[in-house]
Amino acid sequence: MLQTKDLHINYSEKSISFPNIDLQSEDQLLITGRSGSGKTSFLNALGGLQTPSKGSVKIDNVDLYALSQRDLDQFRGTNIGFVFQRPHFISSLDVISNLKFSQYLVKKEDEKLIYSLLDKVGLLDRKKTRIFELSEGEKQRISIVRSVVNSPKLILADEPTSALDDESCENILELIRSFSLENKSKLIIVTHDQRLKNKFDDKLDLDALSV
Amino acid sequence: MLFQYSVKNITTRPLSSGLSVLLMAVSIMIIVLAYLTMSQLSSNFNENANKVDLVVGSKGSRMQLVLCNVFHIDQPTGNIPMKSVQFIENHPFVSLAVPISLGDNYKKFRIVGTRASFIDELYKAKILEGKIFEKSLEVVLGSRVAKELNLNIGYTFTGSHGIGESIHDHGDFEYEVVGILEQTGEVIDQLLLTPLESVWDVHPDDHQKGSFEVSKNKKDTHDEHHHDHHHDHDHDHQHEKASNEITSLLVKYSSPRGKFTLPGSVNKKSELMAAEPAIEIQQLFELIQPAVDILIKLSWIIFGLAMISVFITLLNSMKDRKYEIAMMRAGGASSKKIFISVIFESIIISLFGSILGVVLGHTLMELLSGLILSNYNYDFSGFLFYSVELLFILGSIFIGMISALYPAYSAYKINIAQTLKQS
Repeated sequence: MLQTKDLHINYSEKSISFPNIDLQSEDQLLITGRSGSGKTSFLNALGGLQTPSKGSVKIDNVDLYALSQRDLDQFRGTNIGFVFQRPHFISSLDVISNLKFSQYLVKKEDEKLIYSLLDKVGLLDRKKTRIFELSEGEKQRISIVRSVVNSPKLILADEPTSALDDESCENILELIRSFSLENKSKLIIVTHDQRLKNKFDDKLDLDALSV
Repeated sequence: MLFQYSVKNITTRPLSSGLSVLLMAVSIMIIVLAYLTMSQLSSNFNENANKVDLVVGSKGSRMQLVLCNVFHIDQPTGNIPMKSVQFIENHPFVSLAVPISLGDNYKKFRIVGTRASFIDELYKAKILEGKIFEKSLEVVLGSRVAKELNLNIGYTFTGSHGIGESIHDHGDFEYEVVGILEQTGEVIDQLLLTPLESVWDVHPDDHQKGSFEVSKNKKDTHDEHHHDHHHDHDHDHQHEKASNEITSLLVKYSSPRGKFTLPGSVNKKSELMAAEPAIEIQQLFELIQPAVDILIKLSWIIFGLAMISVFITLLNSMKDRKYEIAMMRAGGASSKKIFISVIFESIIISLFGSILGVVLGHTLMELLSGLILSNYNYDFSGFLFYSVELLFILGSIFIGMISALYPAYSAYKINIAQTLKQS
């Protein structure tokens, strides 16, 4: 489970407080908000990428910000998968090596899983392709594969569909949701993309709260 | 995997990585080349210099006397009468005294008139084929002469006047090859050896002296005597002449006390000069050292450029890669791991550059050894390795690591959230 308590993040001119959330496994939550609402910071705080000024984030009762930096890095690599609006990869490595590298970072080796995931996103034949040869849509699909190669407990997606057309948006969303269900991961998507609004039962609107 | 990642990062930037490797290789190449040349030159020269304790010849330059008569590089300083050095041959502190007489060449290899003791006592060279010369115009070949000119026992030829280049041929006198020596790796390999009498027979009058420009400064009574026989072509008579001349006398002491007494008593004589090869070679090295120092300083500058190139390449690479580094951090890579991967890159570049430099240095040395052989009469090798070269490689890696510290640190301290926000 994922719990936040009294989470505050400081900006240069203001401090934003975030609502407490409590997710059980397989929960899927959509967080919406206009730009500047602090939704990306919220997501980063949940993922152990940005230390909050106040409050705590607990995943399976582990308080992320009580860990040492090194343990936090390991914890993040093992338990959290990320999907960002603009996927970045190790440009010098090909698709398969990028995915293997993600496993290597948490001392894991499961080539079979990588192949089956690539197959599911229809990119198995692109496994030896260098990153710069992929289209944006292909990159996003690979980044979704990457987010689950370590079978994380939590998948965090930041604007995963905003740069995509309607059809790709639909596909990508479907992939993320099915992968997280198969993997029994919690899923949190942060977006301002209105197209996603009606597709989730659990929603959190940061704009509504701050009013 | 981390190592593989570093290698890939280098190979995906072939131009900038290549520049770093190249600069590093060139600087190490120059250092290696300078080092190889100096150490082989000094060991070769010292080895040959130690063969002869003292050279006695006509007045002039001591360096020239040594270079000409021990190393067979320079022109002779002039001739001295055989009679004038007899006291040395009988000196109690002298174990070996070998006269040599220069003046002719065969296809640029020097013909040296001497005694058999030059071969078997001074250089301790063994006969490979045939025998040591016994009478006038018989010739024993150094191994390189035999190989290079492809000469065999029984071959006859006429020498050319002068040293190194042919002025005119001595058509009337035919030398005959009677023996070939085993290879020694020393200067004797490059010589044609013949009895002193050959030289006297081929140069019956003192026109012999005309071949040496520096013979003017010895005006002694023997000259007059010599002039009496100016047109005397009676060779048998020639042998007994008291005025027979030699170019120098090579001396080995029987006792260290020779060193303190002999040079002084030689130099007192108006027509003689003594030079100690060991001292002259020392001076020669002191002369070349500044040039070598400049070369080494130059290579340090190039090495410095190589390090700046490594630094800039890595720093630019960090800028290009900051998103992927942030992504790797998000995926669980510790900042230490990122730091190490950047250091790895510099190690790989330095390792390649310095090894390439050592290889290039040795290759160039091997290619240049032919040139050195003809200039210095010494066989240099590109295949001699020194342990100090390992130090060059380790040192390059160490300095390469240092120039990677800042780029590695900039990757180390990347703020994941902020970097990802920028993208």
